Amino acid sequence: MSTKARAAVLAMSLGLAAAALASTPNVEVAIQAHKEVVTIDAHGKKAVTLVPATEAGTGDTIVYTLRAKNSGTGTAVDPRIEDPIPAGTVLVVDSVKKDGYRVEASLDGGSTWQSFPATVSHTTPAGTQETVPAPAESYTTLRWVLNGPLQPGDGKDVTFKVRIR
Amino acid sequence: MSRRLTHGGMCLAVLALAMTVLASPSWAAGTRAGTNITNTARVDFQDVNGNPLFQLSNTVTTTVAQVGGVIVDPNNGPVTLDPGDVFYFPHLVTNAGNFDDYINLTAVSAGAWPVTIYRDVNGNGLYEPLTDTVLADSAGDADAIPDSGLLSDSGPGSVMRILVSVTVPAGTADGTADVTTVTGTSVFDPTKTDTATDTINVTSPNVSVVKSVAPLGAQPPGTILTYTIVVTNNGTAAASSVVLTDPIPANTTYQLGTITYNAAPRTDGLDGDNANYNITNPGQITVSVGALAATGGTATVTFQVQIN
Repeated sequence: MSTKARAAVLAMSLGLAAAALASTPNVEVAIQAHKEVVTIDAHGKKAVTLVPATEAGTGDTIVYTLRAKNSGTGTAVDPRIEDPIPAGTVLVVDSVKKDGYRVEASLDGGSTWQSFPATVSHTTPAGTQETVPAPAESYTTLRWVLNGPLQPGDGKDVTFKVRIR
Repeated sequence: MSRRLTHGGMCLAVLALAMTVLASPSWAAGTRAGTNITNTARVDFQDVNGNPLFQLSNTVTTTVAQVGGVIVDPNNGPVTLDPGDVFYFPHLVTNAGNFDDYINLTAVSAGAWPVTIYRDVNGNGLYEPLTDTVLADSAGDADAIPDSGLLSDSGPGSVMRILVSVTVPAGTADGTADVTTVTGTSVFDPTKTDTATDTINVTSPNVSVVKSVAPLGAQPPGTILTYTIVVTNNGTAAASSVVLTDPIPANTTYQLGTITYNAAPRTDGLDGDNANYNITNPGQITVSVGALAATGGTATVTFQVQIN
């Protein structure tokens, strides 16, 4: 075998060995809950700060932040973050953003999924079927399908808001 | 000369007045305080060989805090009453907060008329003296203000019914209006209040007397004078039991048998007609006019004297 060929075979076997070792992705997801607190300073200027939402009242808004990070050694393919809308709360529909991922919604606890924002079929008084936006109260679960894999060390945040009933 | 006119006293308010049907209560809104709202997320992914993998997140917990809330309804009236009448206005009191709470209750008449709050024990919207009790302060909050008792945040235990009695004082002028304001205040959060109003319009009789004499002007002794007395009710409620009395003027002598009532003759004696001289009231003509209709009911009495 020529030197060039031998080098190529060596490189290939090294590459295969490397592939066999660096294989395990481990995506972890951490969730945080915050409350928006609006303060007005002495000049009447409003400032919104986020404080941990250990306690909140009816009508308050909670901001959930989900951070997914690949702490493993391999590529994580097709990562998807999924979160139910907690019981006792209603999704704030316009708080869901679509930057860097495709968002899906379920109205039946995760059995079936559709693109966000969800729609429902509605019979008009005239008897015809029409498609209308799903009411906020009908959302049960959200799913963020990230655009592309998560390499080791990569992370991605998603957030959404709910209102306490 | 003196005249004494009286009319009938109390008559109970007509309960047949259309009473607002109390709307079905809307239960208190809001997740009950102390409820834990938890959230656990998951992430699904694959390795490069297509093996499915997933991880669950930590769980975050938010505890729901207590908020107070009150609803008092409906607004009642206007109800038309006579002076001396008492009316019982029904109200529904709802704990609209998200936890058990007492609702303090007050009722104040704008004209400072006598007002009492009763607990409508059987909830039928009617005052029943053997059943309904005066609203008291609960030992649980002991703030010396009568209250609803402990109401829960949802279901039938979150509402109670009261009756607010308002008394129209005797002598209240015809055409007077009064509003009683009923206020409920959350004991947990006194900034949470709601009010309802009870409106009363008063009608009462307003009887006037006009006396004239013929012939007018200075007259010599021996002249026969004819007195005419017209009694009129210009109020917006009927008058009843109207009695007219008039003393015979000094220096004159009553001419027997000259009393007339609405142009018909009356006897001087106490004999079942509605007039007499000198018997019910010595030295006076007494005429029982009876009822006078509202807005213009009238009666005319005449009698004659001779100048001594």
